[in-house]
Amino acid sequence: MLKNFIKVALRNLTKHKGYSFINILGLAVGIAVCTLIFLYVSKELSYDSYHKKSKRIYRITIDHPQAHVAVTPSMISPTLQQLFPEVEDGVRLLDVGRFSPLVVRHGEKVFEERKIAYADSTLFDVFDFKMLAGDAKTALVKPQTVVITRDMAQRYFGNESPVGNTLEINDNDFEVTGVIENIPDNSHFKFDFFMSLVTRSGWSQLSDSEWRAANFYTYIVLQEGAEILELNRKVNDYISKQFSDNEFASALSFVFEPLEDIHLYSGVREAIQSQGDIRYIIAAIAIAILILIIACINYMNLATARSARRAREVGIRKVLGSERKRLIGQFYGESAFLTLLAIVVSVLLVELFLPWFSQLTGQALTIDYTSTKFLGMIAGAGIIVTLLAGSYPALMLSSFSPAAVLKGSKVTGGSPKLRKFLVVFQFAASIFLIISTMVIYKQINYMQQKELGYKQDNVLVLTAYNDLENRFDAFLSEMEQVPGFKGAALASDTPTSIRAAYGPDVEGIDEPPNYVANGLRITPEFTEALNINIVAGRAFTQGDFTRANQSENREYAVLINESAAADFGTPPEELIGRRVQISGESGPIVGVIEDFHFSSLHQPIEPLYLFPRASFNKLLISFNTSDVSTTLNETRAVWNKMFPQLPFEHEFLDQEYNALYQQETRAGNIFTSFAILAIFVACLGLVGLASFMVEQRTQEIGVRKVLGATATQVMALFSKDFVVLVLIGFLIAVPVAWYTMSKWLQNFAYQIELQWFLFLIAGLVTILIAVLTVSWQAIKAARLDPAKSLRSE
Amino acid sequence: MIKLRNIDKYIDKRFQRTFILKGINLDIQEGEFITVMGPSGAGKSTLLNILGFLDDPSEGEYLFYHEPVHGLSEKRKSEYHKSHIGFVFQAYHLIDEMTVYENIEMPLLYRKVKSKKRKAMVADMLDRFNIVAKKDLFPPQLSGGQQQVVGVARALIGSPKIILADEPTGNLHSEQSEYIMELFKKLNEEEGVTIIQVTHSEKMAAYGNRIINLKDGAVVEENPYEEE
Repeated sequence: MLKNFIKVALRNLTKHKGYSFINILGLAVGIAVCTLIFLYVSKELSYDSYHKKSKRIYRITIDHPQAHVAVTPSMISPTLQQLFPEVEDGVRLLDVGRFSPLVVRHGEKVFEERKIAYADSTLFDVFDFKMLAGDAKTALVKPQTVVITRDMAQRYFGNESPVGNTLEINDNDFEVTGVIENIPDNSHFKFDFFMSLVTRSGWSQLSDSEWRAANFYTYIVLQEGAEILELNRKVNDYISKQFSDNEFASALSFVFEPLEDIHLYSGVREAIQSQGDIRYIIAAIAIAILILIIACINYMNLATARSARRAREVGIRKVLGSERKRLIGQFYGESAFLTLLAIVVSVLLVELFLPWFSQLTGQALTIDYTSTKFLGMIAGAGIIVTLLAGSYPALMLSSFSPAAVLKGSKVTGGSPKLRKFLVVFQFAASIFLIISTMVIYKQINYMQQKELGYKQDNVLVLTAYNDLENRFDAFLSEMEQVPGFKGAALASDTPTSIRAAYGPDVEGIDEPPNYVANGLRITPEFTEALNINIVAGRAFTQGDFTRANQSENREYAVLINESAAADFGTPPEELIGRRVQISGESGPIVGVIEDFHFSSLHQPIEPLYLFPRASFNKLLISFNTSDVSTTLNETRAVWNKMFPQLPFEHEFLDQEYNALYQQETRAGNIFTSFAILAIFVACLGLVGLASFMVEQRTQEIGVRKVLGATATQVMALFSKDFVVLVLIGFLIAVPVAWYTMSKWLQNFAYQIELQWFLFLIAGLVTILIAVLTVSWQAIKAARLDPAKSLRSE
Repeated sequence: MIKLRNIDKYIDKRFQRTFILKGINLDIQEGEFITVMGPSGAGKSTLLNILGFLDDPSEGEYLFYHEPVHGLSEKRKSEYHKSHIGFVFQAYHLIDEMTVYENIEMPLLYRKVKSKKRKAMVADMLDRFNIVAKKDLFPPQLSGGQQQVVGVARALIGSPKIILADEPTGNLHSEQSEYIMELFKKLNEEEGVTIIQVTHSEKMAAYGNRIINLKDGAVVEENPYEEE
């Protein structure tokens, strides 16, 4: 019996190759998309879960009225371990490579390194990093010791044995005490170097008991069975009691983030590396399901539309004694068989597109064909598709009354209403995806094109090493000789992301409690080199810089931005001359600068204070040239002449700025690819449906042509039906897309407006594609020879 | 074997009830060869469908081997289809995706006959109807008459007690028709299979031993020729 079913199914497949092709390809694309998304999502969801204690590890973050930040003062970890028995263990990380890279050297090998952090010796008790050499217990106990990853061991030591050897980091010698396996991709931090935190003991910000600046990532391990919420409440109680006179500490509360949630749910500032967002994960899953449904609809539509062909078989089988449930089984079996073929094709597609998809998502994705999770996913998808796609045809076909179908009366082939509804759904989904894609692209484009208030193009970003800072004047005069040089300045941050927070106090102004503002330390050339406009007062002078950095009687000068001025509700001119206390010193406001965007456009422009205090991280060199590569080469020559020992590793400011929107750009790319796939699969279905309709109406076309209809009229006849369906789909998609996209745009402080013509374009494009698809079949119909088509009846 | 009492079949349309069959009383004994005749729309096919459990009467009583048919479950009806009733259609209704062999074999699959026995039975059938050479062909490759022979073979392989044939020769030319009718006659006479056929052709009707004439859903006369 089974053999009989399979034989009939196979013969049906090969007999109607076109339909089989459409069905299998559509389902294969759907399943392939699901597989890719599954790989991506499971990778994103697996972050940090490989640690043995991962379920009990929490990162402590600070929720302050002005911001939610991932860093805490250094005292938190030791204090909590001492006071609360629920805290089993803890570790602090100080991400020193974050602000400016460190120069690491071993013999001839010198590199700038950014993934470098100080860590407590408990690091390896809390996290499970595989130790390849050295002793995890003692590796970070002594000062001036460092543990490196396998890649770094290879980079600096090659075939030498690293352990016991010495690395020079920013001119200090560190003993390598351990080599660990490279930190897995699915980790929210991927440092390459861990230096022992005791090395820094004595540093003003490092204290086990005093409340100092918040610069440390703090992780604790909760004792087994302990309640995190309970601990969280106790800790917050303790902090607010203990530090009631500390304005900053008393206003904040601690948030304990589960380790495994950090990557997707955190959304804090000062994250160690760019994070994922659970909303994009959900969107990806939704798209995968949408495409799979579109493919299933193709199957349902084609199977039911063609049911007239199968009706006779159903009738005969019933007359020969088949019960209905056996027929249902047979048709389910057929869809299962088809799904199986589709799965085979989808595996090929996945293999083909995996490298491309990895690049698209920025995740190195691999398939483990033997993992139960993967096999379960494939089996699950297969079963769902079989049931979803197979149910309607199975139930409908098996319900035919044999008396009716065998007598030769016309079988309607399923409810045309349902079929129309399903086509409408397909197109609504496709149009929705197209609109979303266009909105995302417009927003990304808008952000990248927006006037930010400073010169963005042809600005080179380099590291401000001590050597450079000390000889900056000499460097400037050398650079003056380079054609195309506009100006250079040192700064504590680049203008794309200024993130140091200060608590300035302006004379004659009642700041709100806990007033925190962003601060930037610069050299006087900064405003000129980056084309930042002065609204009132003047820019910094060399005199300002000298006075601010002399060893005695230090006197600052301060520039504020318009937003800071606006916050006080005082006209900019009136603020000039007022004294400001900031960063332990004070000085008058000498000018107000025009607002510029110094973080991603997700955030509005916040108050900003600039002052000319030394200790810089970045060197910005601004060019005025169309021949960038020559200027760049000459700059490199100047650098290499003056600082032969320092690496010339540069980046451009606009690149740095665009990197802020990496996540949106990725989402945009994923959306585009899948929107195209969705349309493709939907059109496959249309081809099938249209060719079926042409087939079914051959006689009608013949009659019409005999009565004088032209080929164009016949084509219009067919296209009209489908255009109406696409239009209905359009009407459904527009409000849904409008709602979803306005929600998405709310993530940005600066957003495009949803313009009606975007929607119109999406609708027109879809109609055009649909008409083209249908016309292909309709032309066939229009060219039919009426004599032939009428005779065949 | 078959007893019809006051069988009505009608369709209700808004304000009007259209009768297809009205007040049919019929007794059929085992071994009869009955021909149902009548003009188009007289209800011949409907009657045949009711007799074959493909359709239910609106009113009246139908006893099949003394068992009331309206009380039969779907399963029981399927059982009867497998073991008691064979169908032959005007349009042959073979499955195009199956070979001649497979078409004939199909009823056995539903009766769960063992593979070995199945082979023997199908071979026997092919032999009996002289179509061994055609067993691997698909129906569209055969002539109408050959297709109908396959249809008859398929109906017979389940050794039914009764064969219901709806215009079995309607699509065939006279030579083929005669061959099929001879076949029926032989089956009826030699194996005692009850045959009920619907036909327009008086020539074909002559092969039977009883004629029922239907007009507007009612039996108008039985055996019009016998009196002649």
